[in-house]
Amino acid sequence: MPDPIQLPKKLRAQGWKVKVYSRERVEPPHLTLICREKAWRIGLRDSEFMVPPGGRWRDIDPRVRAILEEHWQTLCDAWDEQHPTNPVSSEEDENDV
Amino acid sequence: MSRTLTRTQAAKSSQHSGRYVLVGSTMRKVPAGFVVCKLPALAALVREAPRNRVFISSRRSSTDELLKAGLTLPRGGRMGELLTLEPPRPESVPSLCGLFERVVGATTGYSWLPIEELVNVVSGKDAPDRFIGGAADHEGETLALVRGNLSTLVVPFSAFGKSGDGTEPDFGGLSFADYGLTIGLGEYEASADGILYDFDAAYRQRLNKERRQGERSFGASLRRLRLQRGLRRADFPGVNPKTIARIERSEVERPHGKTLQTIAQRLGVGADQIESY
Repeated sequence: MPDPIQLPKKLRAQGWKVKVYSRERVEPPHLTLICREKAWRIGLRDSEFMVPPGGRWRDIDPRVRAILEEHWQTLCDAWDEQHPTNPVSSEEDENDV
Repeated sequence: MSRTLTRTQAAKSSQHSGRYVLVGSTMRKVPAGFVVCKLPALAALVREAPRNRVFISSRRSSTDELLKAGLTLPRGGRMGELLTLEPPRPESVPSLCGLFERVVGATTGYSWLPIEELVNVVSGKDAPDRFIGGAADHEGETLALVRGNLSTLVVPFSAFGKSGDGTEPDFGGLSFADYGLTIGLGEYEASADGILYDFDAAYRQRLNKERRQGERSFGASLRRLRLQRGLRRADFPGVNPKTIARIERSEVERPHGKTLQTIAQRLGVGADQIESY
């Protein structure tokens, strides 16, 4: 699918991209943030960096972070649309059965 | 260190630091470890090339020049690996295969990363974890995906299921982007990580090693694999969903016997394979 949110031209020129892949290693819902050859996976349920490869918010350009926060629901919706069997919105509670 | 070699420099230099040699490209800025070689300098460079050198040829004509340069080697000499970004003349392929330890991209139908990204990937530390190119075989329904270390991973079309929004992979639209992290199949995009995780047991094991100790239990593996297969806990005939939940939470011991067989069968893996996920 096309990138779920379009970053401003300046950030795109620096190599920043946000992806929700059609075909993923299935794990908790997440987005993939790319800056040239670097990539981070950020959980859509908890905003935590997934391990591997890990990472910290301080590694991310604050402007990118602000845009992600602003469009968080769009990203969650994009995940749910692509991966309806593992939606963000209905986290499989460890005690649900 | 990267540099461009002229014939004189190549002849004078007895030791080129670059493991990677870019031939027939107009690129000026290349990563450390690369040498951009002008065609006149090729023969001199080839004669002293170590066998672990990787040649990347941008054009058919530069591959022809490499072949000619190879003929100047002592009898029986070989030249490391060759990646051809433009298919060589079909008639030259047998000779290239005789001269190089490995030839990648020798047929039509390959798509490649943009060269500026490709050179970074092949010389990077995580080269095997990224895809620099590949080709689709529509009749055989397989994708041959070339990793940054030039090894090839063969993946069936069936590994790319329709996405939740109904987007189907378009295998005729194979492309590579994001420094080898993204495989494009038309509008459909797959992560390199997801493909490697499913089709390279060594990659999967390495990744799983990096997870927290608490995530290494049989139950955690079962949960990961179940979600990967898009199954609910209620989708295991003959096994109570509560039992599946308890196993996943490691509240009960690893299942055995019929229960284990049922779970493995439903997941489509061997019982001894579950923990590798």
